Amino acid sequence: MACNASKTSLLRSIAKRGYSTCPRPAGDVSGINVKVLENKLVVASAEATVPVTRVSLVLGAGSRNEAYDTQGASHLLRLAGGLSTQNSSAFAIARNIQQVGGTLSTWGDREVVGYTVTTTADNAETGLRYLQDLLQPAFKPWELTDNAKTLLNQLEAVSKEQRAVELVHKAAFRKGLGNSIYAPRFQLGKLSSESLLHYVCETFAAGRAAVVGVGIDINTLSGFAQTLQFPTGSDKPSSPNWYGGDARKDTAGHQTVVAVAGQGGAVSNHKEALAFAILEQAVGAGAATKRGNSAGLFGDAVACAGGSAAVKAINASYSDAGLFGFVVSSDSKDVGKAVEFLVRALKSGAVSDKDVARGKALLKARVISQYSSDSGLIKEVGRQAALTRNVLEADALLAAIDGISQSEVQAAAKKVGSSKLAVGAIGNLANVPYASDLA
Amino acid sequence: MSSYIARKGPAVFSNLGRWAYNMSGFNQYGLHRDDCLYENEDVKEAVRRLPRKLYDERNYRIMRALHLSMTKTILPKEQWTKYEDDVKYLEPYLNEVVKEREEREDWNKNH
Repeated sequence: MACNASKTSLLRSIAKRGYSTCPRPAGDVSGINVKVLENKLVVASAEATVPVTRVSLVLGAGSRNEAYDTQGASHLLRLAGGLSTQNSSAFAIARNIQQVGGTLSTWGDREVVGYTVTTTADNAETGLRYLQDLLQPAFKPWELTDNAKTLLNQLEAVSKEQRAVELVHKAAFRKGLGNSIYAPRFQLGKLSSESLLHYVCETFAAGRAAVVGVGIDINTLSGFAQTLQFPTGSDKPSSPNWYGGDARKDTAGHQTVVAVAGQGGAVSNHKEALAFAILEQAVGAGAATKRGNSAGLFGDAVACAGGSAAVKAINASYSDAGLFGFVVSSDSKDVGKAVEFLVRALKSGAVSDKDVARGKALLKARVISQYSSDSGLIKEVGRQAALTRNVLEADALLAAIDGISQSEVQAAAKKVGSSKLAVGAIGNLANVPYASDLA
Repeated sequence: MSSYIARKGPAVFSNLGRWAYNMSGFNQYGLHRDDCLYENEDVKEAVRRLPRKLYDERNYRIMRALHLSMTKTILPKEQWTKYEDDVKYLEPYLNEVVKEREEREDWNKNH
């Protein structure tokens, strides 16, 4: 089975592209075609002529779908991307994709889990052959236990900033979107293959999934998408409530990382989501120069507070809810003041026209750079297709960003300023204020 | 998992098979056929994959058999494993291991 798969061509209709065809110049943003199949599966493809084809299967199986006792299932789905499926063994998947110089990678967030296969354009069918198998994972118990160490390593590698962001989600949403994208430690080795298969059955629905490609034509891709066999799947996950409050984790040492957030914009409200994205860049989504200071409201607030704090705005837009705030990392003795100043900045909702102009410029630069690399483009297209069931081309997105007025950004800042705050903190928590102190 | 349900009894019932089974003698120690397989790499891997309960039962039967052998006794006749009750619990796992090995060998031959 493993041996002949790389030789047979399952999808003969793939248009062969030679290297003699001029590849797309770097930075040129290609057009994106979108198709919706009868089973509501969205197929989107950026039909550029590129030597490397990427195809991604994006499934609505992110951590927000986990119940209390299946927490960590989406992390295991990411981990099990290369393990045996019901039709092919882990060995066959790895060797056949390697043989044609391809890679299979997994990624995910709270909404989706994505499998991306990257191959040269003339070997795309080998990649697709194994990509389609991933819809029927086997989760053999011994393969899961063999990979327990990898899972533990992945958990050890999660940074404190990331854990603070996970904690603030927990405080803000409690369940659903509050579930961490990383498996909690108490679930290590506890998730049986039966419960994982049940999770797959519930979440791998065509109506929540998308098949997206870069460098493959839309007809080939939708031909491939039509052959996919989805388990029945269920409806959308329940809509989240905003709670706010604290989620704290004490650890040894002097470092403290605090994430504070209020309600942000949902993807379903496109204008508001864009306004929050502009706001994120305007108040300081990281320094423009290496080890430089973050510009904008948050950067100023940290500079006023003194000490050695580093701040970054966080903005997360999910399909029906959002979260906006900052994550600050500092020595424990300075963190109280830094958080106090930053919360004051967050609540002030002061955004000048200069801030908005800078925010728009930064956001547009980020969007263009995301769209101009194939690896960035496939993820962006995959997320958009899975969440909004449509994909905006770069020009349309840039025009939409330009169309956001200053008052809309100010309204976004007001919304987050007046919302109940959620605080996620990890590290030495001696001087970290509680959410009730910040109100 | 559904595909790992073990076969109970022999593939084909026959009086000759019954006679041979009873003559072999391992059933008098309460062992099953799959407890007596020579532990080559394939069997070791298949045993490793057994669910915890089957794995423990196998170990218990083997320990009991070793103890009986040491004391030069056998089980009372009503506790002997019967020809039609012999569970081939390792078979599905072993088949899969062999298939995977053959797949690897095949690949190495062709690439």
